[in-house]
Amino acid sequence: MTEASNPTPPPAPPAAAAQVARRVGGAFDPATRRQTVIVAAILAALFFGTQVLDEALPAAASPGEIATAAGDAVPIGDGWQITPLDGWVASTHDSGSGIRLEQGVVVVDLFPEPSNSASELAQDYLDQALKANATQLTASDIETATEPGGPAVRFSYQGIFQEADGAIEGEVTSIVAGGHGVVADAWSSQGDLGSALGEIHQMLESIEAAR
Amino acid sequence: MTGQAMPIPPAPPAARPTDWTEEISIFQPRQAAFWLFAVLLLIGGVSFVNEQLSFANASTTAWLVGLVLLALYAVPVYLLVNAVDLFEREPRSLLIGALLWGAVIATFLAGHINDQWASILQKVFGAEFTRTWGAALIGPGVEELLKFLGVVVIYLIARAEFDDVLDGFVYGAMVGLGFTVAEDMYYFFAHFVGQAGASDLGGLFEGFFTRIIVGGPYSHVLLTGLTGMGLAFYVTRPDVARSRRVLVAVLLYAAGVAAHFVWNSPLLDGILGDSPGPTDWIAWAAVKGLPFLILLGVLVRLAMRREQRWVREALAEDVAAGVMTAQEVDVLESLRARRSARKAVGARTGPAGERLVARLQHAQIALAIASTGTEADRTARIAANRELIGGLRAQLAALPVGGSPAEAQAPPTVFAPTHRAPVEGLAAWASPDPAGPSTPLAGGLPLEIVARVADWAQVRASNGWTGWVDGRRLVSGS
Repeated sequence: MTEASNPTPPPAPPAAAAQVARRVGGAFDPATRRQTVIVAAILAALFFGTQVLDEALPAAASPGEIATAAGDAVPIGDGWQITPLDGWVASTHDSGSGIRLEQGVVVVDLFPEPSNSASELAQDYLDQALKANATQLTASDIETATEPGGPAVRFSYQGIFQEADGAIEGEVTSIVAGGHGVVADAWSSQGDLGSALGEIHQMLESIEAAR
Repeated sequence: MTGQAMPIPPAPPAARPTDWTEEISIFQPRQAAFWLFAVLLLIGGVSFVNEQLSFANASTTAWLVGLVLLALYAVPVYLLVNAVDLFEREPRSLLIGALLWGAVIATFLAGHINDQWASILQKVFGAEFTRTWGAALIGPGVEELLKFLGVVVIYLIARAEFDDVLDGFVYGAMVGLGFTVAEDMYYFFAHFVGQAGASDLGGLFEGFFTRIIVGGPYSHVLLTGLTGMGLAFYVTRPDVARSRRVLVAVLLYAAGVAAHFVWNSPLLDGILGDSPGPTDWIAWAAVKGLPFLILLGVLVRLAMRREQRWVREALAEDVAAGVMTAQEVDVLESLRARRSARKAVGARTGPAGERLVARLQHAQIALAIASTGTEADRTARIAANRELIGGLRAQLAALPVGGSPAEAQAPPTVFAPTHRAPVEGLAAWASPDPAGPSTPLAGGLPLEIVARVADWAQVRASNGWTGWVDGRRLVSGS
């Protein structure tokens, strides 16, 4: 066989993945394929991009911030402590008593209070801290809750407060053990609390007396 | 006259984006956008179902009552939005697809992305700023884009269904309605019933007042209605310069975002005072939302007039040939006038006549739609509709009026005046709708009442002219 009669080798076949992609892409209407890819890219960028951006940004330092490592317990006062989840920033409360946990627009204020009854503690907080400062307030009944730290009760509220812009929604949990109590007031502007309640309840379960 | 012998008018020029004969379902496997929609619906659907189950588990009563309360809002809004689309109703599957995008896909994505942006804002601007301005910045920025992309996806699935600016409003409003309903159910439980579900129906009704009575008119239906019209203007008006189309689309998108920003922002909250009552809340909402609602109303009205103009053009040849009367074309332009015309005939010939007029009106709309088409069977469609119209007219004419068969729609041929116009004169309309142009009638003009609908009277003059006037102002006696 002469060299001239040797057949020309066929071009290398495209990679299998590229073949599949071309076949799938070819099945779609070319008039709208590109626009659909752009829409999908915008949605993906919004969904994943904001997550990447959020994780890349360092948490903002706030006055009174308590430096903690992941999994560290933070003292609330009067022997109580809580373990914040990753992403929650702890700081001492402006009032000088207790601490504040913050993530985004959601705040959890925790105050130690001497008490023998979780219900009484919750009622006092409702009357003296919330009603006294609200121009309008609606609160649910105080109901028993289960917290490992001790007997606990919980109620939710929404209202308008002099020191806050717009309507506020919140959920108050009080826990009592051995004559010592702690009140946790989780709050945010209306519409933002619901999605954070899972993490908040998880953190409240970590409250324990370390005295 | 059946119109069978009439020549078929030439198809509209290709640049005219009004082929109303297209009827496309959402199931378009050849469109990549359909699969994007399906995948996102599946992912968002899992989250949506789980959330609804958690609400129902927390309080089945509150969840069911919440559904009823939301239906009280959603069903009339759905019907109202569809009623605006007078001539070419959108395919139901596409409308349901738009609702699902808003209720399931957009809410699922917004729930995640809003949280991320709240965290980013806090890191950059601090917690206080985020608490005050977060909702005003994040909601409009994220949610308007997600809902707008829903309208884009519906467009990419069924481009032929976007014939005019009005279609952008319809699909945008549907995406917004879905979003509002899902968001309101969340709000009912998150803020008024409580996540723990105390079966607090009082809280639920409070939520209904705040979310639906106060905020309902200015909800996402308004916001996405505006942005959807912008998209539709861009894709359906090739007769307008591209730069101008882009400008209009951007301005309408900005209007939707601005309306959302104003609504969410603490600006103007001073209206509420220290202890706001129901009227304070309603005034607050009106100040924030009414200007944008008026803007939407004006734009929808303009878009409706444009469609009405197309119908007149499409039917002009049939009017000239006597297949339809100019007055019948007038009547087609308003749902109220259509109903009045049906009632007027029904009052004289009974329910059978009313049903026949309804069928006649549908056939006349179908004729207009067929005339705008560019399909291969366009000629056959036009001829078939003309034949149908002729057949329905014959049936109407055969209906007994007062015991004898008579022309059901046409007024009696012998003029027998029963009333006169008041001395100061009287305005008359082509249909019982004061929104249309009016014709002044001279004082003392003898008139014959042909039909009455509520306070309206259809009158005839000695020269055969007919019109609608305020029946209360007519003077008895000829």
